[in-house]
Amino acid sequence: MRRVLLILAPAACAALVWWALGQGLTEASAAERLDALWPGASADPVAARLEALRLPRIGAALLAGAMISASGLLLQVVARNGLADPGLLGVSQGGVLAILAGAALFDLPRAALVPAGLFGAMATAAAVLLAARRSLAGGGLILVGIAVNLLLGSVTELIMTSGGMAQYARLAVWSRGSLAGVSAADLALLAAWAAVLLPLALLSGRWLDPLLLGDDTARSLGIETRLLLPVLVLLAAALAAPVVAVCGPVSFLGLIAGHVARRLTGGRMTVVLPGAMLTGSCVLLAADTAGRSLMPPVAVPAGIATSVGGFLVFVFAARLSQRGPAA
Amino acid sequence: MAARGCPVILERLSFGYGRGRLLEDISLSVRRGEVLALVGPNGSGKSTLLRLMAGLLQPVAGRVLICGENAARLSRRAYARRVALLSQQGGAPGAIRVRDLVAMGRFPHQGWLRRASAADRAAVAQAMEDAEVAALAGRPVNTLSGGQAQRARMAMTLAQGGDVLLLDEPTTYLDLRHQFGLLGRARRAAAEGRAVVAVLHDFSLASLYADRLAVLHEGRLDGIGPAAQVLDAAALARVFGVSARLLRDGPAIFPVPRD
Repeated sequence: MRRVLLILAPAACAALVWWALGQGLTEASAAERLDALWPGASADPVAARLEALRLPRIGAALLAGAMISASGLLLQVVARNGLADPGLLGVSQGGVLAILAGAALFDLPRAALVPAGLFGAMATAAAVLLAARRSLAGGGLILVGIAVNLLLGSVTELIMTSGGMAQYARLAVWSRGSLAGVSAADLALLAAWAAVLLPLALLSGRWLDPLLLGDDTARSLGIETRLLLPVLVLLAAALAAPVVAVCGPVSFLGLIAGHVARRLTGGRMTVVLPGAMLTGSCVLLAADTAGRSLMPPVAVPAGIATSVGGFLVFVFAARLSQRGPAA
Repeated sequence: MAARGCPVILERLSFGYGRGRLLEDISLSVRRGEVLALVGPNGSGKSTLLRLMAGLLQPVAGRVLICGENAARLSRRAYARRVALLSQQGGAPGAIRVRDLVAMGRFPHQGWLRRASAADRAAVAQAMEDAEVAALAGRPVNTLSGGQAQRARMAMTLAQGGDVLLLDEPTTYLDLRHQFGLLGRARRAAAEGRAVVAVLHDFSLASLYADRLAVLHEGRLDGIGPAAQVLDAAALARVFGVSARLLRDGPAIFPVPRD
């Protein structure tokens, strides 16, 4: 089963990219899609438009899905709680608030909003980490995270409701998580963070299994948990922050991808973690593409489509693992 | 060289939170080839003492020597190569397989890019054999019974190797056959030259499998020595507050209530 998945998951990812590239207002032939995927600028006008508009969105979905999923799984291991997700750290709310405040109150230019969101997300995560540092593995992280989220959430609502109706609608779409506005520059930002953080996350995989055995046993196995846990929380925050800054809070995916991967692959975190990344990539791309193409002219924000898609995938994985031996 | 013969030496060890003391002025040493049982009532400080030996707690006074080195100066990794602990806290390893769990015992012996060496694989196979979980190697841990899971965790602890083996109530969840099996394995670990310390509640098992018993009473060492010396009706009355007499059969001692 695990070997089948090893081939199946990347294949599913590739198929999704192919599908996503063809979906939209402009019809795209196979040749045009290939031309767009081919490195270098495309001479064909349709291919050039795919390359400029759809490719960044697809790339961003793949990277953001992998990053938010890795972030969620890391936090679930640190907090030893399957309900932990990147939102818990205040990364989502912190990023949302910084971007909203930047746009609504300070009239920041669009190019400055993404760095602002990044800063808000990391600053909030650092504050939560500091406040909960004594009981990261206990309920402390979760309690502090919930409290900070409530506080930031109410401030966010305050800003959103203080603007006009049109502004509210625009912000509401983004604050549910959306890939609609993703530019090539946004993709470059995501890619730069992903290039550093995803390998680091994969490298951290070998410390995750001992952590699940409890603090005493992990330390007895030679792990300095008082150093490792804060490092993992920071890594999780850094993985989620650029995603929030670019796409808004992609709700649910960070919570669900780890569970899906665990159901499908079972076993060690060194396997589950890349599995969760692939799951996240596939689900986010599928959800975003379905959201923008299944019910035209309505474009469902990726955050909402992800919640639906993630739920369906989870139910499917749970059914699958009841039959297979992989659980 | 006292240190070479005694991988664990506690020197006037005290521990507590704030002003209260959970352990007061404990001095003892554990020799290679010896099984020491920690006995005492609930809350007498047995598990705390074991965690101090494991370096999981820092003493407020006194010190712990591991193989002659001050425990406070050992890195976690260096500690883990010398001292293996079977902890009471279960954790939730989830769907991991038994052989992967046992292989985690080799963690302190491996570098950043984990590569299981031939020695690692041999240690894992041997430990699964010794803890009688070889037949369960492919089973996910969350499908095991309580006793099977306990044996799997014992196998992980055995695979870790080192000079000192610490067991916190290792016979919990185990049926009689596996209680004998696990403590017999602890004895063999001692015979191979390790120092073994086990928190035990069962006096008959302690008297059968341990060379010496350390009796803890309200955070102090009430007595230490062979079972026949430290276990008598007076000690049971003083430490456990029970009126009991002791039946003896060979080395084994069984307390039975008087009246």
